[in-house]
Amino acid sequence: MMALTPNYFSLRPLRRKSSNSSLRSVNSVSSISSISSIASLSGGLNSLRNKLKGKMKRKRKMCDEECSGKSKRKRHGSFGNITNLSSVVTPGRVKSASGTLTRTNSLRMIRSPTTEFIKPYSGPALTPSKVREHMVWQKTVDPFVLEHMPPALVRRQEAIYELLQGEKELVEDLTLVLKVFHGPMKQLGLVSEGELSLIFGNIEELVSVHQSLVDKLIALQNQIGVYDSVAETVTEWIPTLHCYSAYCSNQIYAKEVFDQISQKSDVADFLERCRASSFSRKLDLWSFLDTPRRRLPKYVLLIKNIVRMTLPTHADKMGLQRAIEGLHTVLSAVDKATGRAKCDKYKSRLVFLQDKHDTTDIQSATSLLCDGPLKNKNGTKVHGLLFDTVFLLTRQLQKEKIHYQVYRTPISVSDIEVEDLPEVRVGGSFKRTFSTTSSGDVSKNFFRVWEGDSQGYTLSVQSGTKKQWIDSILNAKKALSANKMLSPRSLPAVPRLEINSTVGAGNDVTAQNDDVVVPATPTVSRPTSPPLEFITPQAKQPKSRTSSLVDYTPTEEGGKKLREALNVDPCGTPNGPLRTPVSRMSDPGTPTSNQENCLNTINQMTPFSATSPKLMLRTDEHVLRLVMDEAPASSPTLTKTSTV
Amino acid sequence: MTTNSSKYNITVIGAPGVGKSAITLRLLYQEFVDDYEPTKLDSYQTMMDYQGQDVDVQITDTAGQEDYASVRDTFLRSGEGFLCVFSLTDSDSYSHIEELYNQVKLAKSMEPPQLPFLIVGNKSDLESSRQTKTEDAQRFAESLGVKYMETSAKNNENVTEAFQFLIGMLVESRSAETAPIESNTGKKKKKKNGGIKRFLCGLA
Repeated sequence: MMALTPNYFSLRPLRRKSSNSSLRSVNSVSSISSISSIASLSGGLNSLRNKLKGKMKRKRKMCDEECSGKSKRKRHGSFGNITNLSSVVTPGRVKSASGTLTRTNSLRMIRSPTTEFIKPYSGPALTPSKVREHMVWQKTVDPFVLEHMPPALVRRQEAIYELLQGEKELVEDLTLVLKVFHGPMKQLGLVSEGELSLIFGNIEELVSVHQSLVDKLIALQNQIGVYDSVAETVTEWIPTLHCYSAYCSNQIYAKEVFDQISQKSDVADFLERCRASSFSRKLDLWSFLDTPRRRLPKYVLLIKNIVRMTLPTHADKMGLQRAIEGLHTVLSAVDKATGRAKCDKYKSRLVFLQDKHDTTDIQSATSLLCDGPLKNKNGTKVHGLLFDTVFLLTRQLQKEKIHYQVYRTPISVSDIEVEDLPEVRVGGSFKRTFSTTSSGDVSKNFFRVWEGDSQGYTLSVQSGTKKQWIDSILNAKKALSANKMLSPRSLPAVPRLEINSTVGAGNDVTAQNDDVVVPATPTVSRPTSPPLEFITPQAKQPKSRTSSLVDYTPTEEGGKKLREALNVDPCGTPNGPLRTPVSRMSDPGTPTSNQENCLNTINQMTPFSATSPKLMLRTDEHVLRLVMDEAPASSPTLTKTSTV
Repeated sequence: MTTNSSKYNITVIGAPGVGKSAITLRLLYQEFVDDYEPTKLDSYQTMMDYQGQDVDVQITDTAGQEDYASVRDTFLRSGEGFLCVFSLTDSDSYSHIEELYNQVKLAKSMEPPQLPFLIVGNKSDLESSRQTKTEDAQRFAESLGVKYMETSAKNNENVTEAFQFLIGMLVESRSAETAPIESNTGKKKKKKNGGIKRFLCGLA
């Protein structure tokens, strides 16, 4: 009997939860408690025991059914096994349960305030979380060295040390992600392998990239722990950051999958436990996964800081400038790839009511400039999507994922017209007729878009965002027409960024391998070609930050290269950087060096090619899509993936 | 998720060089070691006191991401509260505010009373090179429907207050969400009315 009562105690809250409001259950509670009290008094009648056992069994079944959705782990083993139960409950709960157990059969305990057996994990009381200690170089070296070092030099050492320390911490964090999140989530089967590879992307590659900088920087320290020149090491290392293109563009999908799986109760429970544990410093998984992305643009700040601390006579002053340029190249490539991934994601979510709406403009779009909720004149909610080539009015459909149903004829950006409507009376004719006020409701949030002779659409926006929409549309049109005039022979829709980043990337290629012929930097210039005026209005708009397209402000060096490139007649170089994505897809035979470069980067994405291709196909078409879109068919890894 | 109710996410945005990192650093480490001020910061978790209650706050510093729209924008959406910083000594960073504000509004599809957004004029210690008047900034913030504060990360003035204010907004907006059932039925009713109205309009 003694063996039974504790079980009963631990069982009780569960069954109470399972049938909270039913009268029947209340009856059974009292019946059981009376049974157990009689049983404990009489010292164990066999018949009663059996009866009780039978009840317990039924209860167990019920409870198991009830919490089957909660966790797979806890279903093994018999219900009477206390250790098994305590593995399910939270640490705080275990404590109270064992407290109950030691107090034998006091019936008062049955009315203990524990209401639910398994409730979502609630962590321990809030405690000040660990903040990573701020490490300084001065603490790592001999005081004697410090004494003999001018403060200016010490600050430079600190700046370098900060870079190293940050790298170490990043590697630490990423390794933690793999060890504590990736591993257990895989082992526990919380998420499918496909989802795992989507969420974590090529994070393993990032670990090795950053570990390599840690190793190199540590090796640069001399015997007394002082760094001399770091420029060469850093500059050489920076191109390896191109793997971020894959990581960041994957993140677009990763975030979505992550949000989805965090809705599942078992995953949420797991993540919450991890977050509450000390190792995570109370950060959640997503902020860990996002850490590398956030750190990437900070390298510019970090290296600029080192440059600032470096004496003008030091070789690093110049050398690190080159590193910064290289960083900007990487960053714009990553930015472009991310923008492209975002655009592709939206494109893949389009649903067409009529086939004719699926225009070439949509297919050739490479970046999403603006998107957001709009309302048409009747006040119906629509979702506007402005790509670099086309403007779409869609309705959001919530299926498994959000889809956008294109329900109005798309407007090509090349012919789009937009008009700001300062005041529009809202409401239908009915409302206007019977409106008590003479003017009716006047809204200032309307604008109209149309194409050619069509009537177009009158749309209203959230207050304040109208300017952004109109500016984005005008800028997109300007950018598109500038590109068209620059490359009349190419197919429609040459994205502007294509020019910029190709020049930028070309720049980078020269930095890496001098023997590669870069098409983006020709030397012939033709006076008749339309030179700067098409590009300067764009370049002089650092304030419009609506998109990657408009946003790109070249550095002085980059701007020079850009001008050089634009002075050249692009018509003469059909294989040049101004080719459209369409033509690039159609002849993969002669990729530009930039594309080769990009291809190499993608091929290095080991997690994608290393994981079973079957799994990739099964889980999400977007991974495949993502990879295949970026690279021509000549890539061996990719063809392998795509043929499965 | 009741367990998450005490966890808030604040994203610090602003033009380059306005002191986003400095403000965040100041909040986290009250004092710097020696005379070296670190540049870096990424995501930090800290615990703050709001009306006697401890709340978990995760602060995301966006320094360095300003020029890379795609890298930045997609992730604006994951922020909850926004601390929008400009420098009182740099009028360009001030004129940039409205745009940032609109971007956030677009990304979050929310408007100010619900959208926790705070404009912060930093570097108030450099009074001599000030370019933006307090009254102007105040008026501008009011026109957007948000609050305004002036801080000095260097002298540690108003930094904690700014974050606390934002947390207050977050806490309130969370508690406003606690009655979703009512609002749902309200929506349904509204929809019905709209339908009838439209139907009548069609007849007329």
